[in-house]
Amino acid sequence: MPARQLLLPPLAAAAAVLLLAGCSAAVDADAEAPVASAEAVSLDNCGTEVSLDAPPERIVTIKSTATELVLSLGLGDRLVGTAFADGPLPEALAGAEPPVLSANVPNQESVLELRPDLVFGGWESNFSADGAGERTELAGLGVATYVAPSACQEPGYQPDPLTFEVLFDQIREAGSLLGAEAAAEGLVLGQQERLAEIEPLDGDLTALWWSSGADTPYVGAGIGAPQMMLDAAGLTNIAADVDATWSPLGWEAIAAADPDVIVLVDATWNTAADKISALEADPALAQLTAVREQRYAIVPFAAGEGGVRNVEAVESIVAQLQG
Amino acid sequence: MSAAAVVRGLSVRLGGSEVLHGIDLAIEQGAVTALLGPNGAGKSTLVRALAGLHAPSAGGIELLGRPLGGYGRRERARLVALLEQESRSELPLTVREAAALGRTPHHDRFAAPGTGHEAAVEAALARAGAAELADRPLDELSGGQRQRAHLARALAQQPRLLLLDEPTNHLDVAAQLATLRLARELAAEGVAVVAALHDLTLAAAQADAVAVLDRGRLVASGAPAEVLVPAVIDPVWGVRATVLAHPSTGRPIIAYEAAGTEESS
Amino acid sequence: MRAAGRTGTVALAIVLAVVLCASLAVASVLGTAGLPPTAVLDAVLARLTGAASGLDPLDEAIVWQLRLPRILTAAAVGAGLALAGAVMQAVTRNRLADPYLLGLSSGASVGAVGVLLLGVGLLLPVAAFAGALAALALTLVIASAGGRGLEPGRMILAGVAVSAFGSALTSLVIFWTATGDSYREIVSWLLGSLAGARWPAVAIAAGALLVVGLPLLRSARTLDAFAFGDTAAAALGVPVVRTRWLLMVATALLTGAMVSVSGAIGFIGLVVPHAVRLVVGARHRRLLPLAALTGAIVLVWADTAARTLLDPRELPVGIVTAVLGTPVFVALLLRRRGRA
Repeated sequence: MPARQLLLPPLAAAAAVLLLAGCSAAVDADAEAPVASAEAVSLDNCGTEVSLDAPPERIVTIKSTATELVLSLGLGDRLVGTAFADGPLPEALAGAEPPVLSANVPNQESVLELRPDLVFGGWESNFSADGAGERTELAGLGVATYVAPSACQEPGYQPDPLTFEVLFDQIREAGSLLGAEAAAEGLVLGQQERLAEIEPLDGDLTALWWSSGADTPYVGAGIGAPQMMLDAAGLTNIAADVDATWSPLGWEAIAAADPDVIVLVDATWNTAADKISALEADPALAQLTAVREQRYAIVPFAAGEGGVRNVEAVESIVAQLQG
Repeated sequence: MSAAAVVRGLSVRLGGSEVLHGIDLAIEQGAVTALLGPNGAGKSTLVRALAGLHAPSAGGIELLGRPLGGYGRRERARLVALLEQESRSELPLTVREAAALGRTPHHDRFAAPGTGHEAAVEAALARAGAAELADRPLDELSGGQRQRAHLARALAQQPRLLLLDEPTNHLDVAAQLATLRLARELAAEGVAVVAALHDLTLAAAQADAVAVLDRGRLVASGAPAEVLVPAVIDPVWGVRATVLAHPSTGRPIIAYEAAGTEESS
Repeated sequence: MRAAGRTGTVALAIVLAVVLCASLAVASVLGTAGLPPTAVLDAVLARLTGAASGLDPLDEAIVWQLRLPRILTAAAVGAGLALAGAVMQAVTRNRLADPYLLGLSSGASVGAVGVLLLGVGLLLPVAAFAGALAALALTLVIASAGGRGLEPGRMILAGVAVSAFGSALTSLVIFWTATGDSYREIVSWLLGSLAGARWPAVAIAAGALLVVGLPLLRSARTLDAFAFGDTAAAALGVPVVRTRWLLMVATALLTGAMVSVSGAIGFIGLVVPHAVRLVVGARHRRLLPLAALTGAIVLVWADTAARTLLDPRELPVGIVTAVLGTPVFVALLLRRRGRA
């Protein structure tokens, strides 16, 4: 309608100005709502302005969280390349066989060769000169880039803390960017239902979220995806006071806290089985309550970062620790 | 006087080329022997060969009647001391610490250094004129002072054969004379001193015997007055030499001109 | 300013030994777990006498299995690295030499990434040690090619080349296998960390110190003889080439053992001998034992800082030694320039 089309461009500009002026530290769903007209989308993603005139037709994803989100929105046929998978696809997406560009971070030329109109990265660092390319440079070549908002590092963009509401808003944002708002809404609703049905564990259990590292473990800390999932599962994170998404933690601090359960991230480069062997073989750590009682929950790496598998991960954690 | 060292038919190869050819020379105990020759003549090589640092490619050296190669390293180091041209160190040693290194070949491997060693170091410092510098770090000293410290190190070895490789290079005239006077004193005590020198007149004045090397060969050896004559000096150094006798000592004084110039009178 | 004579050295050594024991005691009480000193004492006594300690088994494990082996390893590694550094500086006649000069740390890194990232089926310390020795062999081969003996200048250059090669290999492996955050496995090893030190590490580090370090102490006089170069050393009766080979190999074994348990902790081997030399002079009979004691004390404190400063997080100790070591090193350099 004509009147709307007259009003929206100045509103879009005003919103963009507000966003770029870097308002509030907390991620506020309203302020970051992407401004969309019938087809064009423009939003502030980790400090970079992303503009698309039309929903992207040729999408390249880097990292499992990005790939799985695109597939979950039913946009598999628009995926021209996927890279740097952190593990196999979840069961729900098992049928999909998206084209694989690279096992690791692809270089700029190989990405450009696919003529994408959007590159969706799971980490900010995917967009570096020796990775897929700097975001501004790709934009100059007509390739839009998008980083999973939960992975933004800069204060003001890093969710502090990441919660399921924030996560679902991010899914909605991705949906509007990709031109699949309805699918995103449906996905969010489904996830919200599943989340609501989870009965958190009772008993005031404390937990350690061990992601990687051996001598000095890298653990889920207070403001990231692990914290979000532990909260939903009814577990208290022993590293909840550490103001970071993940952090190295000393074994002595962990021993002093003596968590009731340990959530082990299973990755090909550091399997849950190896982690368990290491715990049982260590004369100090074998004394931990969780190790003596073998109270473990295993989470695949891709489900450990903010994405579409977090609700499922919470279900799995609760189920594993219930028996 | 018996020979401290006898060099017989000595040839030494370094880096693929023969630096010394067939040297025959006797080094007498209780005497100062000067090695002379232009740069590259092989003086340093001969000095180092006498110290046992170069294996001969032909011929050999006898030290006190036994082949030099037959001595154990430490045994040889107790008999022969070498003062090199340049001794630089990165480490902040004091003069006394540097001199004490001279006792290395005398240390019993497993015992702590006894007072005999300390006394030897002090005596060496005094002899070399470095006693008042004993606690100063080497890198604070002038070239001449450092020379005295290294001389003390050589003396601390209490050698029978003292080898000095161009010891007067960085010294002023008074210091040069003092060094050679010390050499004469040591010789009087029975030590054999060999000094590679550049200054022909200084050598003539202070040495008991001189040996002239040219491009790795021994050209002449004997008493200074016999060896340092124009017939020997001119072809070796490529100059025109005039030799005069010192008014009081009778020792040769050598004056040079470039070869081929006419004397203007 | 210089401690005079033998009695001065012994007195200083006793003082440092006392400081080391005190440091170990204090370090055993400090930690994120906040155990009271009495609890620490109970745990240690109980273990030593075989009695029950009356402590929660986890608390006892914290003291006996986490803290104690770690601080003892720190002491042994600190002593070993300082000793190796002092010997290296004497043998190469270069005050900027450190124990890793012959490519040891980058060789060990290759071994470490092999195990941690490529899944080679060896124990990490074994692979790291093997890597260090391989690097040493390569350096010695390159340095002695052309048959002029192990001349210090060539050794240093060969070591630099081998170090660069090892680093490149390590980086290649890290880059090639980079998945998820797999680099986390190796990063604390590369920076140097004592977080993984349990009793086997104590055995390796202390064992190396006793088996290789003690004989090195006895090489003090020979090291002194190298002060003025090869010619002077040879003239003093030292078998230069053979001695240099022996000292290099011994230092490499000592350093390799330390690196295999703690990764490449920097600055101890470079700065501690310098600082001690300023106080007691360059005679190695004094320098070696005093540098070893000082290195032990420094690393015990650096490790304590690394594991308590950012409670409950943990820093690799190599970061602490670098942060401490750099200003100390600059101060030493400036002091020297001021004098000359």
